[in-house]
Amino acid sequence: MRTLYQVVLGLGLALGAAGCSNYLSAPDVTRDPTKPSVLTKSGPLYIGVQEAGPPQREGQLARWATEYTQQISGFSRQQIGFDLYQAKPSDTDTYFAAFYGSSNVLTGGGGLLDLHKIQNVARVNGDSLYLGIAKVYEAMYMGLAADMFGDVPYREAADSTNLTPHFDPQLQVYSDLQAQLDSAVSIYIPAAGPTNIGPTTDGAELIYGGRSRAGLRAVYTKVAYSLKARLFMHVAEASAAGRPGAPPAAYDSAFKYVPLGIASPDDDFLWFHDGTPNGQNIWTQWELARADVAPGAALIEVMKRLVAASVDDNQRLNFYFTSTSTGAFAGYRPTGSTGMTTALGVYNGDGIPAAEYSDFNVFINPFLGSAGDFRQPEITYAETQLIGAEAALMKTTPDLGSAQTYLDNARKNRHYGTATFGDAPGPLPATLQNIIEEKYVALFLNPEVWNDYKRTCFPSLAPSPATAGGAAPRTTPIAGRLPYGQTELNANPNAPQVDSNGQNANDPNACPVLNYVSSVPLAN
Amino acid sequence: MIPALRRFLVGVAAAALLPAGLAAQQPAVITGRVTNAAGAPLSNAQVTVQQLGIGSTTRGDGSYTLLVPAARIPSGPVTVTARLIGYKVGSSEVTLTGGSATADFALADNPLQLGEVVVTGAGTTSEVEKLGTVRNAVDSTAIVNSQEQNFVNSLAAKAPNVTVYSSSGDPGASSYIQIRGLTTIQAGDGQPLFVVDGVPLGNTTDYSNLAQLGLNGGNTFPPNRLLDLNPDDIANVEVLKGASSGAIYGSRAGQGVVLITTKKGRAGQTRYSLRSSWSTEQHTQLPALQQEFGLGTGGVSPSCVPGPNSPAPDPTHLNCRVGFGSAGSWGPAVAAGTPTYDHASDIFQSGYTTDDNLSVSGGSDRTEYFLSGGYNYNRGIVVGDNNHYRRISVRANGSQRIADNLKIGANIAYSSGSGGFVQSRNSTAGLLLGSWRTTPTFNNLPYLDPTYGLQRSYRFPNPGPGSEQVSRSYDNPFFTANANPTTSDVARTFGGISAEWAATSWLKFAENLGYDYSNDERFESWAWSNSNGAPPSGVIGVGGVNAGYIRNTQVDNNLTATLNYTASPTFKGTITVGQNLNSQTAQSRQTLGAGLITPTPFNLANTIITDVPNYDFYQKIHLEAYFAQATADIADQLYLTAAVRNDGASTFGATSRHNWFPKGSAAWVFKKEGTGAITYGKLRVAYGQSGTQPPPYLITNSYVAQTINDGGWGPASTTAIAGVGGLLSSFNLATTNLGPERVKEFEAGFDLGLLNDKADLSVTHYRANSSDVILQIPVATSTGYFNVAANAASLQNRGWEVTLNLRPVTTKDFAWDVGLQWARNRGVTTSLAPGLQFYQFPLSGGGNGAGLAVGGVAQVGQPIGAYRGTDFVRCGRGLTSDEGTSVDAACGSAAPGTLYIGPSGYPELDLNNTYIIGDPNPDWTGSLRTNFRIGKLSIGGLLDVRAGGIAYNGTKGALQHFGVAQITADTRNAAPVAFGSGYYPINEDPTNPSHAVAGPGVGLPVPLDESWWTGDASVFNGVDAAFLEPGHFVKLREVSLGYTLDQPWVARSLGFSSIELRVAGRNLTSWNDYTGVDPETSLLGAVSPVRGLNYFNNPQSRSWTFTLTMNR
Repeated sequence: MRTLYQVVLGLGLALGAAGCSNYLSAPDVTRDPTKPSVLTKSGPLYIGVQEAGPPQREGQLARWATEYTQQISGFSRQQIGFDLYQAKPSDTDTYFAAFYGSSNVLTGGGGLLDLHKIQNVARVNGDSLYLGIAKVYEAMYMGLAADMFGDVPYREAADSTNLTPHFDPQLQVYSDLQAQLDSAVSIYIPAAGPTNIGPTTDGAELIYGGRSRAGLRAVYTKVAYSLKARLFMHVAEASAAGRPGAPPAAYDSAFKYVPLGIASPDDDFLWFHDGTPNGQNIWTQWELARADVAPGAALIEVMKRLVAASVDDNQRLNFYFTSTSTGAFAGYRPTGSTGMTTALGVYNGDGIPAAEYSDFNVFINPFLGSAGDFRQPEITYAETQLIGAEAALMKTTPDLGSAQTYLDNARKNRHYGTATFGDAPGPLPATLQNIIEEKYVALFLNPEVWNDYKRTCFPSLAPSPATAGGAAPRTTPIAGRLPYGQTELNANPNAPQVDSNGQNANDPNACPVLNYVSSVPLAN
Repeated sequence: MIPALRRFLVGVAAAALLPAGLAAQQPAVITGRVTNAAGAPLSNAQVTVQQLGIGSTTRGDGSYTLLVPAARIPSGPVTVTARLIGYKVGSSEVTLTGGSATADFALADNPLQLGEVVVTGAGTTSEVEKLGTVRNAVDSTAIVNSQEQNFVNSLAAKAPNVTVYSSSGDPGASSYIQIRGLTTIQAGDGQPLFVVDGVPLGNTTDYSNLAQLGLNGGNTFPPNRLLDLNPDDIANVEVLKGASSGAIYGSRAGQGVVLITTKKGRAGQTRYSLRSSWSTEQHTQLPALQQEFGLGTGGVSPSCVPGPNSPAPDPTHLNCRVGFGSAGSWGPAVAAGTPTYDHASDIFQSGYTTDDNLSVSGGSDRTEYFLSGGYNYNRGIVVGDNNHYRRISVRANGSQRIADNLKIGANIAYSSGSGGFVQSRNSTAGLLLGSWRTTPTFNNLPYLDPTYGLQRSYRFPNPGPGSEQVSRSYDNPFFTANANPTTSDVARTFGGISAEWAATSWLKFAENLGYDYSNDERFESWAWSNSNGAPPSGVIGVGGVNAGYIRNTQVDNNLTATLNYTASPTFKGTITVGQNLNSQTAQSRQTLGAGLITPTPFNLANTIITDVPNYDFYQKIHLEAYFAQATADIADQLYLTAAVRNDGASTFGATSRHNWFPKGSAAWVFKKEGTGAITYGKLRVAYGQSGTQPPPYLITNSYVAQTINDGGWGPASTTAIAGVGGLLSSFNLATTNLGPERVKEFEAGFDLGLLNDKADLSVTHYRANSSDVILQIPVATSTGYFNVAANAASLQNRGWEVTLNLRPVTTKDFAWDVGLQWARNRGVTTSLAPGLQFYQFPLSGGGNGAGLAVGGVAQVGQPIGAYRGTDFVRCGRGLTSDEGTSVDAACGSAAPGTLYIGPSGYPELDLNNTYIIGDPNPDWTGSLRTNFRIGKLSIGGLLDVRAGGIAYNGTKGALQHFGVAQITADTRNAAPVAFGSGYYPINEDPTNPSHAVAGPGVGLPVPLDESWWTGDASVFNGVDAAFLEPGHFVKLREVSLGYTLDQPWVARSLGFSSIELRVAGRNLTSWNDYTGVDPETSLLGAVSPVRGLNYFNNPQSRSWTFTLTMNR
């Protein structure tokens, strides 16, 4: 009996230690106690979206676009390969992902998923201002995605119940984005109720901080119209006559919305930056950390030519770039190549004097004292006016007068971010080349210049050499798109197999392959 | 009062009174000597009189003394027993009277350790011959003699298919251990569970203190936490290799279990042991760097880019910097008489280690104790004061028999670790990245400008006023080594209390309550002018401080009841039931201060901004398990074991909260004793299941405050700017129901004693299928998410393990033994989530710039962890050449995979596709161990062999780009060569005779010049396949020479029973075909299952150690 008693006692101890009934299901062992999982206000996400914008749009996406269009030159390490149009799916992976959401570890957040969440919370709260702003961002983000990658998931994207979204035709995406912008504008107009407060009360507006809700509604309406004009230009080449199914008269539409767009440099959309280490301009941080790119010869040559023709002064040259010891400006050829064979009068890339080059100037150059607070322009008055100029020139019924007016507007009271340069010193006829070259200068470091080049083939660029350091341009066109991200290709069977250096539906006509010797107009 | 408690208290009182009870008169003294069969004395043998509970251990000369109090002298004879691992038990009957008695023992060899009891986990034990699975044990001598600061390293080459990868030779650097291949693909996993004295001991490697600064998670080589365990405290290690042996640990044993037993006291006189050693260390192999060409590009020295206060592009001017375009050594040939510098090695010096351990042990018939203290200090091989690791450890193990049937015990260890670390790997403020890219004509010393006291580097050679807080682009390595102290201070307590209660003669309860707590205070600092470009870049140039702690706690309670039954003389066994409760908590808080107000001190209060989202991590995991095991011994030759465990884990989905893990084994000893060709034979077969738990907290979508990076390039934003804080959606899509991964393993083999025990042979075959492997499945990023956790893959590992031990000579004065181990593992991915082409292995700690487009992957039909990446254009892949022509057409009849040579004479890059390009897993591993004993002299050696497998040498691709690799000097001005015949760009197999090429450029000589090395042959722009190299090696892991002084004069004159002098070498040489640092290197340390990656990893170290051991 004593033995049995001891056995029972032992077993009782064993079972008695079985723990609490919720030992395996208590809240702190099943849900992360450190992270919120429910949001009732749009503010935190909207702040995140505005802060996630610069790494995406001043980061590698912008470097690709501006290297391909030779505003800058990749002259060391990976950027040499990118100058050769060698972006790989693994290179674009996090950037493609960031258009929609976040990726593990690296680039993250603020994409379509969060924009939809902002809209959903705004609908619940009855806040039309937040709803409209989020739609504007949606068009801005997905418009760039479609431009850089072509067909992209959109209608089925950012939906956790559909893990393999279909890729929508690029032109359809643009069409849908126009509808989103129309919706945004229409939502703004009637919104005046007590719940339609947007980001004004929670300090969430970084871009147009300090404006009232009426002011925000007004300015985002203008941004929406400028974006509409920009996105119509994205499809303009495909909308030319004789292209069945293409949207008709995109130039006409763009022209229509320009007057409703951003009407003053004061309303320019500038990404927020300040001088704090983590609020700094991404280009500045890039220069500090990597500096594998340098000023591109093409941009500097275009600017010098305008100065030489006395239709421009060198204020912007001096703002953008440093001069060499002789006071000259000299950029790098693609891949940092030197000794490229060039036609007479076109700088050949050897430096002026030899081996001396311009650098980025203080606005983004930390080595020259940049505080990193330069607010990079996203969409501006100047862009809107230059869209107007091009559209006027190219629309169904060309309007040379309006084209000249818009071009002149853009060259008056010149702005770049918060920097001002006054009026251009001389008249410039509103030719397509002049309009696009002015835009090429005004939209320094803006990914939009790639779309302009693909549409107009201006400025006249010779492709990068076939190999790093080569002396002659390659014989194939400048790449027209980026490859889809590695993860998307791996996980989404709907991802189309495309030539990553090929062209998208909105860009049916490849630009001619120019060289430095015989091309007319000159290959800059 | 219940009887058990009453007996407990009586026992405690009795224990307290024990010394008083020892007053005896006319005791009996038993003396004697224990030798082996050849007459050689055996020390540390345990001599006991079981019926009296009296024991002692033998001294160095084999002698022992037992004292029996007069009051306890029995009337009849007693049995004296002598035991020592490796020898059969000896016993002798002695009749005691007051006075002396003698009992000598000559123990027969027992190389198969038959009859010895081994722990088999969760409170269960077994005799060796009854094991149905292969046994791999490592004893204390082998561990101590390996001279490793890190216990994990001491397991290298000690057991077949137990593979150890040391991440670098840095003090405290983590090591990764893998058993029988990779059975899981979770981040930081693939490593076994470690259990010390019945209590799980955490072995995490935590990069998280660097998460805010280091690129993708950190740029030092932090320790794996088993570093806190003093190897000198370990008595024995049992490796439970697979599911068939580890199933008793259920969902924590999927990658095997390492059972560690620490040293205990033994009844007998108090013994003292002092071991003191001193090692000198040097770096092992380094890449070959050229010293023939200087800075520049195109053969021309660069002008410089004007910096602050420096308007002129004159390189001699203050604050001029060398731009990236000219940062390579592609300048002019070094003029005769110009000094050059060997930057491959000039940052290294001789390091040293001191290791001192003192232990005291002893006990009585009721009390046993073991006390130890250890001090280990490793001064690393990098110059400066920031490369060291020190461990102070204290241990107290004790037990008290407070009643005849109740024994309680406690073992408590405290370890204090303190390390200094140097930034390394992929960081522009990293040691070797800065050192090895430096042009050979630039002297990195002094690293501070003599006039201004500011950092000078080859890209910023003349610092002056205005550059105090300006990045140097690449830091001077001597600056890195001296100026940015990074430290870790660990306090860890682990151990437990235990009780054994024999409730009846046939029923025993065992309770083990364990605790493991560690607090790691980490501190990272960045001086002014540092070049750390990692995100967020708040500290680049302006300096900063990151401070915080990492705290891990584990409480484990294991309760078992074991019933012994005897159904008949030929049918008996045990039944064990048990319960395990476990709670693990991990917590970390860190604060980053960016911008130092003044250059020093490195203190958060001396920083400007702390607005990076603070790192505040917490997680808790609970486990509740029940298990039962039954054994049956049939006719003393057939041994059956069956067990089952039910695990409930908080990390399992709500609908699968509990899971079963069964196992069963059979061992048939068909020959037990005898002489002749086969003296012992056992066949064994086993099957079992074990598992791996999912990570916690995967069931909800959450929002995070985080840094937002521009890819991996360095620039970043955060969700807190301008005083407002934002959130973003997490990249993890919530999952609804996760179960454990499950490993089902079948194992069979045999153990033979041969040639009158002059040899033994063990052969094992296993086949392990992992199912429901948990993947963070990549989802289409267009969903807005990046991955979702799911049980979504299957893996298979199968292989062979052979152990052959030979003892050709075992005489008194000369003995020679040889041990051979050979193992092969073939791992393959057998299934993957539908629609997924491949699964990229998690790179915990980040890819860290390794450069591989994809990395290690699971892909159906491919080796687990095979590298997937970009390749050159090859025949048979349906590709279009750069010229727009069909590659396959140009290849003609060339075999698929043949390298295509374009019309330019160069191969072309296939950047839009990725392929399986190599397998880092070895074809086989093996070791050869031998030991000679000549009288008191012993000589030993251990060769470690890893055959096959490739490694990724990203360092090479960067050194080529910068024109500092020796090959770039050899080729840049040499005559053009034709690819295939004169040069082949892939070095994965130097014995590959084919080097086949095809295409229009075959035979066309082309220069291997700057364009080639900076372009297609550069790690930045080339293809991954170009940087694969053979990962095989033969390494002289250990060599030693020892002499033991245990003659009687030693005790008489010096007071010690024995003194051992030992000289040992570790990692003395490695034969391999790898052009970087040792191919054993690992970029990701012990945090990722991806092996063999190298991007400016620090080298391994070799050492000579001198040891003096004194026993009393």
